[in-house]
Formats: sequence, C-alpha cells, structure tokens
Amino acid sequence: MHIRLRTILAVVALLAMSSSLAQTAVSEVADETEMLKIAALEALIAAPPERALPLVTKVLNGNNSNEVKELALFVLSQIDLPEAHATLLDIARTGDDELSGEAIRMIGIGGDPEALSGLADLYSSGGEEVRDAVLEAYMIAGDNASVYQIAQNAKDEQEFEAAVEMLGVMGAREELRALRESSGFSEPLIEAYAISGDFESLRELAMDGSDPEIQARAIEALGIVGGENVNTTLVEIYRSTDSEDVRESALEGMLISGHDEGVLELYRASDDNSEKRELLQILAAMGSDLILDVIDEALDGGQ
Amino acid sequence: MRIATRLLLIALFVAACIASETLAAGSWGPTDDGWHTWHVAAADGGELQIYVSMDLGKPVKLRLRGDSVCSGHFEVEATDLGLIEVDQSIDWLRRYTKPRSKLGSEALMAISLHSGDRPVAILADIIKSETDRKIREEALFWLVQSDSYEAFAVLDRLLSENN
Repeated sequence: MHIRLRTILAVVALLAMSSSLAQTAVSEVADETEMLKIAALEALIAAPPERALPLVTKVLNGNNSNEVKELALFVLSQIDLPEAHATLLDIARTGDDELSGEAIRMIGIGGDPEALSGLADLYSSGGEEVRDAVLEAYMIAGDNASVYQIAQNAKDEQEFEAAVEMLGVMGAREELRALRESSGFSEPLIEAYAISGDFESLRELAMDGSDPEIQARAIEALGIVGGENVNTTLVEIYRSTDSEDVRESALEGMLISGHDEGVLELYRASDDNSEKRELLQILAAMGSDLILDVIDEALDGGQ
Repeated sequence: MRIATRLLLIALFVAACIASETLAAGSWGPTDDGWHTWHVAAADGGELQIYVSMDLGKPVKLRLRGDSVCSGHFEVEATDLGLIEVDQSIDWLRRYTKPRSKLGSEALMAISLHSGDRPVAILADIIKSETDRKIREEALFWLVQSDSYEAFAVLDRLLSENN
C-alpha cells in the first residue's frame, strides 16, 4: 500500500516536473524566437526600403509582442516611402494605446511633413496621452509651428501650459514671445522663457514693476537661466529697487543661479545689520566658501 | 561497467576529434605561413579577391577586394592561389566564423559576398543553429546586406514564426 502510494506520488511529482520543464523549454524557445526577430528587425534598418517595408508591415500585422512591434515601428519610421508614413499614421490612429503612442513618437522621429500634419487631427480628437505623445512627436521633429498652433488654440489652461512647456523645451523663443503678445503674461510662459533660456524676455519682465507678481516670478526665473548677464542683472535689480519683495526675489534668483560673489558684494556694500544677516544666511544656504572670507574679515576686525 | 562506458565514450570522442582534424587538413585552403590570396566569383557579378595572412597554420588576418568592397590602400605580397571554386572558398572560410572574433566577423562578411545560393544557406544555418547571439546577429546583418530574394525569403520566414 505504502509502496503504491509512493509510486503514485513519484509519478505525480515527475509529471509536475516534466510539465514545468516543458513550460521552461517553450518559454526559452519563445524568447529565442523573439530575440531573433529583434535582431532581424535591427538588421532590416540597413536594408533597401522596398524590401524592408513588406516584412516590417507583416511583423506589425502579426501576432508579435509589443516589444517586437515597437521596434518594427522604429524601422518603419526610417523607411522613407509614402506607404511607410501612411502605415505609421494608421497605427497611430487605430493601434492599441501603447502602440498608438509609439507610432506617434515614431512619426516625430521620421519627420515626414505629411505624416506630422496628420497628427493635428489626432491631437484634436485624442485623450491626454495621445495629446502628450503628439507634443513629444512635434518636439522630436523640431516642429515649433505645430506646437505654437496648439498653444494658440488651447481650449483650457492645462492644454496651454503643456504646449508652452514643450515650446520652452524646444527652445522656441520666437514662438514664446509671439504667445506673450497674443495671450499676455502668465506663469507657464515665464517658466518656458526660463527653460528656453530667453534672458532678454525675462530681463524685460524683471525690470517691469507694473505687475509685482509677474516681476517676482521673472526675477526668480532669471536664476534658472543663469550666466554672467543674469548675475549682473540680478545684482542690479537688487540695488535699484525699493520693494522688499523684489529684493527677496533677486536674492532667490542669485541663490538659484549660485551667484555667491554677487551676494558677497551686496553684503560688503551694506550698512544695515539685518540685511547683512540675511545676505549671510543666503551665502550659507548656497554652501559657498566665500562665507569663510566674511568670517576672516570679521576676525581681522575689518567688519 | 560505468568506467568502461566512460572510457568508450572518451575514446569515441578522441577518434572523432582526430577524424575531424584529418578531414580539415585534407580540405582545400592555404596552410603555409604568410599572405595568400585567391579569387572567386562574387555576388555582384564581378570577382572577389580574398587575402589571408596565416600564422602557425592558422589565419590571423583577412582582407577583401572587389567591386562592392572598399579595401582602402591594401598592398601586400601574397601567394596567389588563383581562381577557385566558390564552394571551396566558402567551406574554408566557414571554419573560421567561430569563435566570435574580428577574423570571424570578416569571414562572415566574406562568405556573404560569394556568388550563388550557398552564402544565404550558410548564413541562414548560422542564424538558425548558432548559439552565440552576436554571431547570429552578424549573420543576420550580412544576410540583409546580400540583398537577394532568397535572403529576404529567409527573413520573411523568421519574422513570420510564432513566438
């Protein structure tokens, strides 16, 4: 009885083991097939477009993993044939969320003007993810005009903000300046000026005291741009203003840009103890070694 | 009993090694040290000239010259083995596609430039059976570069396989 039980258990264990081994073997074969397909697609990048296109299309229409299909989309984006652009746009419109987003980005990488213009409809009718992917595609393609159009026609603040931020990333200063003229000042625009490194526009806003809130934001944003001109401007703003808020913003800007020499200069020039204390605190917050100079001077009895 | 089986297997293995060495030694190919060259019909319809530098009976450098190969300024005095059969040349080169090395990569490239159906068949075989992933990837690359109908038929089959 015991022996029979053991035998049954052993058979069950063996069956379980062989089933698990078989599964491992099947999964290894699948991995191997997938790996080969990926290598084949990579090799196809160097193939003549007419020969590569039908194979890549077949992969996209076949029962393949998204990883393989995403690589196929990339290869497709490198094929400069109208059929390839049309297929990409078709997948961008009808593919599942993941593939659609990837196809949109690939249209950006491919940079075909017709396919890029096809993304405008997709943006209008798509959800947030599609809109983000379209903005990214325009960024990859360096299509400033299309992102500008999106910002111009934005239906709400969120949409405007996303487009303006993208223009900042793209360094599209002209488009951002044009937006200022058409839509006025706004916080996202100031941030985009900072991201795009538009010192001139920010300086203009930082010097304009008509809207203290915008002015303060612009001064701080100058700190993000950084550089010699910014440092000089921030010290100039600090010295020339009577407003405590503007001075605070200028210090904040110097803190962001790391202009410790400017802070030390202001410290040395000041006769006001509470101001000196505040400037010292900024130097300390910056982790600047110049604070040691101040200590030495104090020990020497200079200040 | 077990020891006897093991000894038998070892003996068979040694015999197989000796036999393969003997066969290899008997097949065509340069053996003397120094540079050798031979000509074969190339896939582009022209002629492919293969240069091999042998050291201690083994190839250490491979250079190619042909209409679709850019060989730069390659000048060397070599023993000319003349025009030989594509199959002979491919068989010799095939022996050096492994292990993965610069010479192996060059041998793969050289095979792909030969005329006829065999380069595609060999590259397809390497893609199917080779265990070194890099060698398979290189074989795939050269298969695509060969730009023949057969090569793309192989790729088509590979890409149509179900995972």
